Amino acid sequence: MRVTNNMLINTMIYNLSNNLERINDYQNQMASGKKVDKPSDDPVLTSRILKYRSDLSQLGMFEQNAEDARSWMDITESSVNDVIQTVHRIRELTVQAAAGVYTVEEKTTIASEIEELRDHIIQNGNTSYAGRYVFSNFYTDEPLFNDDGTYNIPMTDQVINTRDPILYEIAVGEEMDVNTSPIDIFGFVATTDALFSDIPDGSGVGTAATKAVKSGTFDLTRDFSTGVNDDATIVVTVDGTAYTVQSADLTAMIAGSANPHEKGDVLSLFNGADDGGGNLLDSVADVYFDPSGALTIKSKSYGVGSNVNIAYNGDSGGGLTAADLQAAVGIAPGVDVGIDITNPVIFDNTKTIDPAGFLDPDIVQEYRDNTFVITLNGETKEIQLDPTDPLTSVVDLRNAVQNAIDTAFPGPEVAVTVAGGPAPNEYLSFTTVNQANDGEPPELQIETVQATESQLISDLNQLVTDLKNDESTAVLTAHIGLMDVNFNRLLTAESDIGARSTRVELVLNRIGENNLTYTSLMSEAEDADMAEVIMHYQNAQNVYRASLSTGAQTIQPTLIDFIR
Amino acid sequence: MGSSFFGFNIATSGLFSSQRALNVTAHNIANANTPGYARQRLQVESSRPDTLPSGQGMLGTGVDSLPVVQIRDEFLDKKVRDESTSKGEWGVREDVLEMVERIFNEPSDSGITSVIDDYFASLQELSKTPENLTTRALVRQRGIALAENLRFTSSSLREYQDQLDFDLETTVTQVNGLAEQIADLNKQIYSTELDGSSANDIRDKRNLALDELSKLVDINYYEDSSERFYVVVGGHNLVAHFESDSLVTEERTTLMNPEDAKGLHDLKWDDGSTFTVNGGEIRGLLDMRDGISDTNKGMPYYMDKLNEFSDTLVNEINRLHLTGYDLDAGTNNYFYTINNMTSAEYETYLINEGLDGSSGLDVTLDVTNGTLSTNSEKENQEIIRANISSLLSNNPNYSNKSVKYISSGQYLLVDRVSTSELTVSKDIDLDLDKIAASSTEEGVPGDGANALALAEVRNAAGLYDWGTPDEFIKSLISNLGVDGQEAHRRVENQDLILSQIENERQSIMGVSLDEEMSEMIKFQHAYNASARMVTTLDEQLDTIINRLGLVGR
Repeated sequence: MRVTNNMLINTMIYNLSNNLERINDYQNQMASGKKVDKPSDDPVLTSRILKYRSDLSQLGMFEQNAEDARSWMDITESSVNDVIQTVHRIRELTVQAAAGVYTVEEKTTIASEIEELRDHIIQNGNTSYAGRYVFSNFYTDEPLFNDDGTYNIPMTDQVINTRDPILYEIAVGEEMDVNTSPIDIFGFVATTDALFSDIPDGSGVGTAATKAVKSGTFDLTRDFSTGVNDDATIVVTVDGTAYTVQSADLTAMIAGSANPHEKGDVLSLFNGADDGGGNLLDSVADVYFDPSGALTIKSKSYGVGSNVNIAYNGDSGGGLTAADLQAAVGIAPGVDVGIDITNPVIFDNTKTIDPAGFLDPDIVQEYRDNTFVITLNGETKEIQLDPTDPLTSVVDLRNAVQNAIDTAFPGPEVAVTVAGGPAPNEYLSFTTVNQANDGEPPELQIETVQATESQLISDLNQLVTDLKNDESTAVLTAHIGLMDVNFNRLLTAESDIGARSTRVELVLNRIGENNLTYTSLMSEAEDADMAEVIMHYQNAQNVYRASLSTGAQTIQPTLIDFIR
Repeated sequence: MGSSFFGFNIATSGLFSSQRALNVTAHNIANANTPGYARQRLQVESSRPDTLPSGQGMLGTGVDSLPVVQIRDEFLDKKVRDESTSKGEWGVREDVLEMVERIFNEPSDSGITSVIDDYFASLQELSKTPENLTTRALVRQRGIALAENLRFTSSSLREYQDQLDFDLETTVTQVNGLAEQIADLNKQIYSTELDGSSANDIRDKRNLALDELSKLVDINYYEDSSERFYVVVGGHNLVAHFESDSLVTEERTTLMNPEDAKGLHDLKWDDGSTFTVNGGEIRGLLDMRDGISDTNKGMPYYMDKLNEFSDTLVNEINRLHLTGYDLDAGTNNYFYTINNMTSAEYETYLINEGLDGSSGLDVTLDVTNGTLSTNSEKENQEIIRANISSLLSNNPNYSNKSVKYISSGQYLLVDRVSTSELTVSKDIDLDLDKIAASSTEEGVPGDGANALALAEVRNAAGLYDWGTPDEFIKSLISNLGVDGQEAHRRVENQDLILSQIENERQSIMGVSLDEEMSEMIKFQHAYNASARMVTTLDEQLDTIINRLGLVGR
């Protein structure tokens, strides 16, 4: 083969650049420590790296969650443990006091120690962790107890019978409840059977008010060119005000629009209709093509005050007739009126109110003490009767309830009426008055608070009172049994918490092992093997040097060097 | 007996021939490094001999110089050009895919997978402390970062597509310039060669222009029986003898693919006929700029996939977010909207202008067909997903549409969310309380079940044809990697093939300096010898004229 100078040089350059590219590759790997710089370097490895990365990041998230769960369980456990120790101490004190050898003064001292211990229990109930109250269920922003030891959060049926779960995800699809219900720790004293329990828990959803609406099929292919310059009009009346689409606008729109006409042009034509005073139809009604393609005019107001009508006036000079216009727009004349809301009514025929109850001052007092929770359109308020309202009859009760609700929801928003009857078959009926915002159906929910006091604190209060009153040994001994009941409940709660803590520990161990496995897999896939890369690099450099030196020697000499 | 001076003629022809050969050698040496230059040779032959009378044979009469020819292998030229065409096409693909890889920026700590990781991690945090405003701020920030990253990736892709369009226009200008140049050279060659000679150096220029042109488009060329030269691209004459046609660009009025940059250009011939091309840089640029199918994955394919990714993710997140309750016990809010709209504005937009600028189509009945109230939420969601995907795939008009859940509980058929418009809802942007972490109204503020449901979207295996969001991105990146690797390999192969053929070509047409030096010495010697011949003849005549017949003087 004939070999020319340019061939030598081309070959040399080609080889040099190949060698340099290889060196560049290894240099890149050494500098970044990674085998892969971009997906095309090794697509399979890249996809594996991406998988390990997402697995690892998710694992990290679960680890964080599990650690948070452990902290949460730890704080719960230590609080409950503290309460257990305290109750244990109280039980000892009670046993001492019940022995019948202590004087009144000594018993009073014991009583005040128990009072201190009770306050300590209350503090434990109000334990918070990272800004949330641990035992307050979903009311995490409110302490569990008031200073006097009554429950601060409303103990409705939902709280007492359905435990609120606070779920932490600790593995894919595996969730863990970290919440411990206060009922399981402190117990509750059911509210005495007050007449208010005659107002049952209940809820209702009304029907939303509607807007007046008219629609029809607009003929987008209709040719209006014959109507140019005539005085036909379309009059849209919304809530009593007339808005006029002038035929000049109509023809101008049509002239400027392709056939079939753009829907947007039609909409701006109607939106631009005015009432003669500069107000546009746009401000009182929504004009749009509905999902089935019909041109729709909908009033923006709700209820019976909302109405829409459309009328067509033909050209006096014989151009477009009213019938032409109606055929084109497709909406038949005639008024459409909105419908008012239907209100939800909540009542229960089986829970009638016995008028005899109003004669018993204890029952009347229970009325005043009870709390109920009203949720109106998503807003929740706790309601108590005004102590100054008289309570001597069912009508009084209605008035007091109405008064209390109006104070919570000024409006009036909810109407309370006496229904059923005659006495003793009367009951209270609740009706919403207004629609919810944005035409949503009104929603009303009533829940009574079923407990305000915890079993433990209530028992302790009684114990303190009995001690101070220097009650008999028998009375005090009965308290030992009560303490045991509380103690057992606490132990059950503690073992449940302990079981959950153990589970978290197991999960954490597993996550730790997985972490190690995935990290090493990831490193294997992603990280460059330095020793190997350096060897390759050295090798590549040797080849590069060799190619430089041979290249230089090959292209250097020419025949000229040897002629004479 | 021949003439006394006949020898002079013979020697002179040798002198002239050697001199001309030396000139050709000088020309070769001078052009040793000229691109496209083919070495030239002076062709010589012995001139017609004289016949000596009465059977004494023939007497040579010297040397005749024939035309200077160039040494070139047309077959290798053609091979080089074929391979250049392929290299041009794959070179563009390699460059583009590498750039797309850079835009997606995976695997790295700042790619889409990382921001998604962060977003889901923040939702997990929210599920643990739903009432905490710091955590809410984190979710909002990570949500914004995700939207920003998707928007940025989408707009980078679009800008790069625009850049490709610009490259295409530049390349077209190059093609047109080369076509004119070739037509011009045709004119020179044709007129020069009318007398039968060979216009070697001008032909070199034309061959060089053809080499250049073959990188840009796939060309065919031939010389017809009257030695008129033609260049054909896709069945259309780019150059016909003295005439050249040109390609023109025409701005598109409608988008070819929904996500395309505006104002891309179509190519056609100046006379309005359709332009077809099967190789070269132009082919590569067109494919990469417009390819959207599985078999031709260009920028639109990746833009479309990115859109599919964000649209599906946003649909799922919004659907769950709509059903949750925020800190103010409000519900029916969107987490993501477009162009910083509020939830209410976005829903009005979907209902009234969601589908091609007009109202969205209510497909609730089709979509919820087969769901049962006795099923679990998860089972029903799977049925709904299957219904949606069959609805979209069975109607060709719906290929770029999306089915979105709205607050009224309806499913609307609307356009996909365009990734470049994706933003966090203005409500959430203004008020952290609006993030719906609780799954029930009663659960506010301590319930984080809805935040957890949102976080679990990460593991929703049926969300995409390609699996979970992570897996979708993984598949997309793998696809990209495989394509990029193939392009890289093809370019390497073409480089190798080209360098081999180029070597073969150089082996034939390249100038070897050593060879030229030898030739130079050869012709120098021949010249010297011819000159000595003249001297010899001169002395011979001197003998005859001046020394002959002097006997006895």
